[in-house]
Amino acid sequence: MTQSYRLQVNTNLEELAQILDWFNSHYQEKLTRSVLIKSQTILAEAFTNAVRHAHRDKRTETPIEIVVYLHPDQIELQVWDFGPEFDWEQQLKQVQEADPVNAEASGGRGIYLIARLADRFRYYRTPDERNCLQMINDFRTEPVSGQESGIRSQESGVRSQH
Amino acid sequence: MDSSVQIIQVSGILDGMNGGQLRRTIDEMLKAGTRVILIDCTAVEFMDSSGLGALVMALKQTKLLGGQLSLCGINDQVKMLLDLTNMSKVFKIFPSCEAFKQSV
Repeated sequence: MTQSYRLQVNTNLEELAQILDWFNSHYQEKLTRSVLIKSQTILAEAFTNAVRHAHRDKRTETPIEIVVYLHPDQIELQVWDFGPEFDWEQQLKQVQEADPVNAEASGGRGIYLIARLADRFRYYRTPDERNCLQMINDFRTEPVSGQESGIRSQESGVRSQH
Repeated sequence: MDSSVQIIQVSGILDGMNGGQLRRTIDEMLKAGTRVILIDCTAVEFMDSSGLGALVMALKQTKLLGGQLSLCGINDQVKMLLDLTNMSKVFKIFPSCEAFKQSV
């Protein structure tokens, strides 16, 4: 069964605290700590990117919508904005070629973090001229401490949920 | 500890706004002659890439003046961000304020 929650916020960086509180209130008990902190970070970076870049010329009242789907074996995060279409692939390429450590632009670092923290992500534009950044993380057994974190063979399926 | 050592406590969300304030505080300390600074992150619940950017800029500024900027009490989310950007190697990280005090 898939369960979803949505939250609409203004184009204002100060909304971040509300977003994190909202996310924690719904998901803190349902996710492993590792998936929780990854998801919080992905949401925060996608939201601040939308405020700083996609909605740079928009009024504060322009809504940014956050939708979270909790599937049996994965969590799906969506951040919707009303900005101009963004060349995500090109931006990501630039970020990957640049040194993320020394990248002065915080936007670049945010995109780099999303790409590293999400198992899969996709950016698309809808006919109603909205953009969706969709990010998915699978639930799996976390590697035993000391093991290489790149190992992804231990698919665990569902973590206990209610 | 002598007066050239200062501890700053940060709490809540370390984002662009708090990060900007943190940088101003550190700038003032550096101007006043402080060269060893600890940022106590025990009460930091969450850090985003702008907060991280502020830490990195503050570190550069401190190093430029021959100083040392360290962190302590970071939670797993802050550690994840530092690890992903290779910053955990650049900052001196102490488990606690006490551990830092013993080192200076």
